[in-house]
Amino acid sequence: MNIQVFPAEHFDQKRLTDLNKLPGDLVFQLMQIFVETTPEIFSQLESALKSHSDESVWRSAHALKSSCLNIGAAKLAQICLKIEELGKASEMQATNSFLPLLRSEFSVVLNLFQSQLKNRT
Amino acid sequence: MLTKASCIITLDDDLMVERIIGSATGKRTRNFSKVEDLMQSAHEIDPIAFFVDINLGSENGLIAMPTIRKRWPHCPILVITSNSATESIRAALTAGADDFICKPLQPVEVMARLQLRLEDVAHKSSKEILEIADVQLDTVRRCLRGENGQVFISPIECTLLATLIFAKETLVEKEALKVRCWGEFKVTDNALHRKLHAVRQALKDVSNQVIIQTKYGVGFSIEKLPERVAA
Repeated sequence: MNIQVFPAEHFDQKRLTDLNKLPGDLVFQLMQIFVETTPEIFSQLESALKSHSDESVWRSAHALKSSCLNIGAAKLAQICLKIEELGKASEMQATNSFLPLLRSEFSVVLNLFQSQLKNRT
Repeated sequence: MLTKASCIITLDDDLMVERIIGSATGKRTRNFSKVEDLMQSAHEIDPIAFFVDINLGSENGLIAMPTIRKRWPHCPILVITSNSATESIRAALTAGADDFICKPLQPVEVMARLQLRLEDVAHKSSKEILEIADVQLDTVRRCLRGENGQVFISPIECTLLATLIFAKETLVEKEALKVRCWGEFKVTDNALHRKLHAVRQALKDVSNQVIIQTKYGVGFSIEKLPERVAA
């Protein structure tokens, strides 16, 4: 798989290169899992941010961050980390300020993965 | 006879972890997202090693440690932590883990740490002489020695005693002992108790320093008796 399709601005290309060296189609498998599982986590995070539920915020942000780190979605992982830290500190107003950035970055990553999976089939 | 497939078990609510570990090690994997699900399928798995996420959904993955350790006393447990903070690592190792690995999982590190743990288990298993207090069990000759003498025991008694000594004074579940001694053959509690009785007698014949403790309905452990103070 050509790692260059994942822009360095959004992705950790070293991570993707390392995964790509493993046998099989691991990167595609991980993209598939990301596409199938993270929209629900994202929705939970969005709802928690809107309802100012600090524990749900940091737990959902933590779960989303883990998935992002696994697949090398570095920028989205950074945003999640920030939200997780603010959620743990119960700074709910500050966490909400990240919502637009979170939405746009999640959309970038999800769309790219979906298009890669579609092109493959 | 039912054949169980050897596989690495991941206990994680993130499916990516299982795929990465499977791909990095080239071994079969099976994932469970809850401890209860794992225990319900315990009879159908033959774990090579466990990778347990410390953050298991809303639970702390470390709660699984005693359960896993009791059921599979010899199986390596590696805890997956989100950070390398000392506190988190200490908690994992104190809870009974053999090693830890930080997220995101690096394939090379997964393989290296797993290899180390498996070699450690192989090294321990290959030891011919197992010891606790003054008692020595020669697993090749099935000979039990202590301060008071030596006796020879049967193969099943030897496996039973070796399993208990190997678990280092931690509890070994009744069912786990049965599997170690008789494999997949179904045996009654009575059969196990008869063997335990024989092992207890053999221990008594050779030593006054160790005892097999029973936790009723749960399992057994071998323990050193406190030293007697001279009158």
